[in-house]
Amino acid sequence: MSSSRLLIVDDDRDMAEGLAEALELRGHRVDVAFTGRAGVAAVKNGDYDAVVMDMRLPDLSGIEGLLEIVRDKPAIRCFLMSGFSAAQIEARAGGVGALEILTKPFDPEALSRRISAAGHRAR
Amino acid sequence: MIAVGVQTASIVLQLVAAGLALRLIRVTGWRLAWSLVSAALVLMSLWRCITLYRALVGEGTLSPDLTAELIALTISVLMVTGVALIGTLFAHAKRVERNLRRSEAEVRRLNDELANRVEESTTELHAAREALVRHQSLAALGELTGSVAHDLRNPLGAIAASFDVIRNKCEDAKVDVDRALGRAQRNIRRCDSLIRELLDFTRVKRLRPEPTVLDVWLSEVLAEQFVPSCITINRELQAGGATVAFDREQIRRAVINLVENACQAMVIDESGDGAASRKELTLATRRLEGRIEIEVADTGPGIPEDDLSKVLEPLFSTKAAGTGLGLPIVQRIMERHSGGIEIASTIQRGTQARLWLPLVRSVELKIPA
Repeated sequence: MSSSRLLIVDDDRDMAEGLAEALELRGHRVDVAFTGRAGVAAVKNGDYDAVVMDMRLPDLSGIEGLLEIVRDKPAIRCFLMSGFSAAQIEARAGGVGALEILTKPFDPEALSRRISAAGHRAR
Repeated sequence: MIAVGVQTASIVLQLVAAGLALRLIRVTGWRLAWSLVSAALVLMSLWRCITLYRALVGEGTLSPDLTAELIALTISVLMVTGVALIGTLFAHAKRVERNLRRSEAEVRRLNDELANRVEESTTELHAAREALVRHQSLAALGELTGSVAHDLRNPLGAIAASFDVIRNKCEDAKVDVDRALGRAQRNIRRCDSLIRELLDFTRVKRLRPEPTVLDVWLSEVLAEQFVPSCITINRELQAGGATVAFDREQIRRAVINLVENACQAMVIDESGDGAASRKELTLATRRLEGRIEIEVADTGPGIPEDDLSKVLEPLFSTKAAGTGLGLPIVQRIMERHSGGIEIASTIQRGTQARLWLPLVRSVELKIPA
């Protein structure tokens, strides 16, 4: 499995660090951010292959954050973490395009494989 | 000659009066009184008859006083009139009494009807109010539960991720924590499915009805469902080729819930004596007047009468790992289809859970010739 550079954005520290550690064990390089703004800034200034963002952040919504990131870095892969299922999110947000949705709790192994597999974001 | 005529007339009138008096017996029921009056009049007539006869044959004399005779005649006329009037008055009084009694009966009947209607309305009102209260408290419960359930997923996510790390590190260090980790991860999944059930219960999904050939569709649902091999499956699908419109995903969910309950009841049944040791699951469909039924029956230990009335209450469960939301969710689904669920059970014989959907006599039901 190839390793990737990942950014995890979640205000729940345990969630962010737990997931980070699980992915690092699988060879990825993972950074964490605890607010939406910090996450967006880190992506703009850094060089990440994928960003995993929680839907509910204290300063902005995960969807907004990801949209901003995609505008700046169109090639980056975006994962949205949430307690809702993909169907529920689509029903609420009315379509999220190529956004990939992870429903908590999920298996870090599965995420790791998905990240390694395709590489770049499908348009 | 005039005197004779007057006397005769008098006598005749007296006899008429006597006759009328006898008729009054029928109208008033006073047999003795009117009989006496009648008898007196008859006797008086007879006596005057005899007197007249004797005068005519020359044995006696007629009274010379014409005035007196005329007065006697007048009295006779008055007597007849009087008796006749009495009769009429009595008849009238009887009619009035009869009408009065009829009116009384009518008033009583209307009162009873009114009392019934009030009772019916009150019962309906109570039922409507209960339904409203239940709906409102479910709505409130729904919001609270939805929020809490969703929030529970965050910590679960952190726990799942952490266990993943622990597993990997233990593998590397060759520390055997497989069983413990397996338990932990299984229970994380359990928490997750409990949360999903809670969220499902509180959420209202829009119905998407599709016309479906019931028996065929049910056979498929059953075939896809895992049933332990120790259980015999009976199919009594008698809906004919009936096509009914319903939300397939939701009704499938309802049926599977019942099938799972039935299987669980039979598999964990420890008593194993007589009928209880026979493990049969019967899936039946029936077309009845105005509705179509899907029945899932088992030969498990049954549900005690005390529990039977509570089985559809949210959060009531006799299972160690149950949320108590399965059947209430099924009921919700059926009610949203304007149908319902009925559960019958006999201890040590088994339970029959019946789902029913209304049949509308229009486009939705098609029975091939």
